Amino acid sequence: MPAEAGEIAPDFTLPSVSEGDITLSQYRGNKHVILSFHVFDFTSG
Amino acid sequence: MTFRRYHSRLEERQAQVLGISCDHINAHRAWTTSMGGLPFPELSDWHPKGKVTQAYGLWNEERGVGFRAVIIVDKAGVVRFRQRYAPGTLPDLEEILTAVEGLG
Repeated sequence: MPAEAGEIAPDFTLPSVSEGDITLSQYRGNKHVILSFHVFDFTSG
Repeated sequence: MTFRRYHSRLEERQAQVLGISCDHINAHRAWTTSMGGLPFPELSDWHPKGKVTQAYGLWNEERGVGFRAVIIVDKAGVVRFRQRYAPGTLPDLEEILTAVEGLG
């Protein structure tokens, strides 16, 4: 299983709705990042 | 919207929330608008579909969608928390808050 606790998180760049492209590593050294993977369904996120 | 309610408390702990789902960005836009906007970026893992979700081992091959999950990456870029949630259940934000506090 990739991205287990203790491993380096795979870096990525994805488009965001309101802030353009966002790259995970842009937060490195500055902020913790909480990745909330969710299924899009018009219910609670 | 659980993360929205906890957003300021997470921000105080120097944590950035990024929402990720495998839908087209226009669908995201419609969704976030319907939610009255979100205080954190909502990312589209659409093309190639689910690429990042797969890189994190969160792709449900059977259903062709991603699993609901929360992964916490610390400032050094290391995964420190990983939790997958059954369909219909929501992340426990108190647990996530505690995990973030433990990062120092």
